[in-house]
Amino acid sequence: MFGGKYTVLIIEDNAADVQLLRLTFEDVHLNCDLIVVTDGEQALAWVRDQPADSGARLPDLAIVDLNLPKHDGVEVLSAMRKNSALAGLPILVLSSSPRPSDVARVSAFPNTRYATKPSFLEAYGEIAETVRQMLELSR
Amino acid sequence: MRLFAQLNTTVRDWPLRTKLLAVVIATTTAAVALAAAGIVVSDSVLFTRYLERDLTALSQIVADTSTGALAFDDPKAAAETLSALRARQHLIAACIYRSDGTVLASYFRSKANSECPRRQDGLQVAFGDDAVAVSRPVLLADRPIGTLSMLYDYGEMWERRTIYGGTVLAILAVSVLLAAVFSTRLRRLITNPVVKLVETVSSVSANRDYRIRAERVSGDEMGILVDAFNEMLSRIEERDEELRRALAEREQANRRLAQSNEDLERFAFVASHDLQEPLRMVSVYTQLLQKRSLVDSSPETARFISTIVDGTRRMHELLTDLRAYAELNASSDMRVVDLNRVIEKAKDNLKLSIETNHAVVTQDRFACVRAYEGHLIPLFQNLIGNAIKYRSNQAPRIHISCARDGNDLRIAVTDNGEGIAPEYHSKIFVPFKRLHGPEIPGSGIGLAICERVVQRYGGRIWVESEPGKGSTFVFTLPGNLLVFADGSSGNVH
Repeated sequence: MFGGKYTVLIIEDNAADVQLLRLTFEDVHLNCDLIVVTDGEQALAWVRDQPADSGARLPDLAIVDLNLPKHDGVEVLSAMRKNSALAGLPILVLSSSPRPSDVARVSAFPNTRYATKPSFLEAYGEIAETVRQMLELSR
Repeated sequence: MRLFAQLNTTVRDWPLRTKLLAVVIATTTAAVALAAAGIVVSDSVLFTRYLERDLTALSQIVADTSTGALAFDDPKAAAETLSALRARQHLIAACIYRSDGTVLASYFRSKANSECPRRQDGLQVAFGDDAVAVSRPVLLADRPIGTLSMLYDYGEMWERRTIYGGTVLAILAVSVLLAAVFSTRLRRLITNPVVKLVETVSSVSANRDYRIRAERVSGDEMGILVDAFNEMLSRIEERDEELRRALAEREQANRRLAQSNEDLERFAFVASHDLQEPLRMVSVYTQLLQKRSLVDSSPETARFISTIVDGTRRMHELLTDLRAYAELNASSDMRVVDLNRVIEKAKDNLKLSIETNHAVVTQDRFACVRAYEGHLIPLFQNLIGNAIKYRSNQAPRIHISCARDGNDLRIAVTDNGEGIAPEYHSKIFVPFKRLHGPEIPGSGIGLAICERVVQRYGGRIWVESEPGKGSTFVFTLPGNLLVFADGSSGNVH
């Protein structure tokens, strides 16, 4: 690994899913800090709090659920892309809903990938692999 | 005869009122005219007799008066006698002849006509075409000494006839008028029931309101007709009511059915989606337990956990299929889809299954159709997947063929699998209907999806199969979905 620890922002209301991601990253020895935001409103607030050109430490990757309380994931994505500090942040949308319409909505955003939350543990390996790729690309 | 036929046709379309009026006028006119003709004829006869008597008497008087003048051959006295006839304005001419045939004296009503009427032997009153000629000998002591001849016109008769004719016409006009007026109530008595019935019939047919009844205003044939008509209306009303009720019931049932279908679809969609989430947690966390050996690793525990994981896997497949089934009705955009690519994608999704079973899938060359790819891929994937899943002992050999069936495109997926007994040929398309236990996994929804897709495009799907002889699943797509290489679409020729 290069450059030490990563920071990953996870916007996800389901604690069990956050736990799964944590375990997955541990499993593949992906060394990262997790910032967890659990609803759409907090996520928007977090986005607002990231001032442009502050030089502050920003996350290397955001993992966003689409189905969030209060404000949905697409709103959060739009807010992020409008904030110049976060405009280039790689985003992995992790949603339980494999609807083509959702995939289409997400694919409109740059530097954003889409994956379905796996129903089986073995598929989490692929998620970990995707995350690792995106992190390494962002370096 | 032709005129009569013509008249008949014209009269036929007249309203009843007019016809009755025509009958009244015609009969009145005929009666009055006949009576008038009788009167005129008898008057003519009577008048002729009267004229004969009158002229006989007149000639007698003139002859007697002119005896002296004739005896003395005095033309002046004779002329004076004749000039007294001036009072009789219908007398055209009067002449007194001497016995030798020369004219002693003459009288003419107008100068234009100054010819003496011819004398005849003895007393004669002759009715000619234009006038009456009277000839009478003038006697002296019973001996003829000359002849009086007169010409009398029919003017008086014409005057009478003119007066009679005028009177008759006036009587005719008045009687027709009176007949028309007096018969009004009578005619109404006949026409009113008919008119009312016609109004009722029109109203019924215009409003389709079978509750209306015709009013019975008379006890004659019209009354019978009205009764019969009302009776008929009652029956129609009953039937109409029954029909209406049945229709309303059916509509309500249809609405309920549509509502319940919609509810069911919404439920299936929501259930398949929302059940997936908790199931995912159960599944993944159970696998975590298994993987991390967080529970005691006795063989029994391992077996239990693996049963849980298998269960969640099956339920996951079931929910995924259920969701696919529920989503079929969602709106989808129709595009030109290459069926060759669709089949490739379906095969790609089944790659693992095809490789594991050493299945060989071959296909004809396919056309492009206007459809939604998201419908066609599951259709082929389910059919190919089933052909592999329900294989026989031989390696699966599957062929997808395409033919034209009239106007339709007929696509068949043929396998060398275990086959299906005829009694199950229609049951297999029912959702969740399965012929196998858990030894062959499946949700029982694959063929239901296929049927729904095919029906959505207006086609049919069925199976031709016998146990041990493989199966052929056939479906049709309407020819108008076809898109030709030049981009045109249309029917198969």
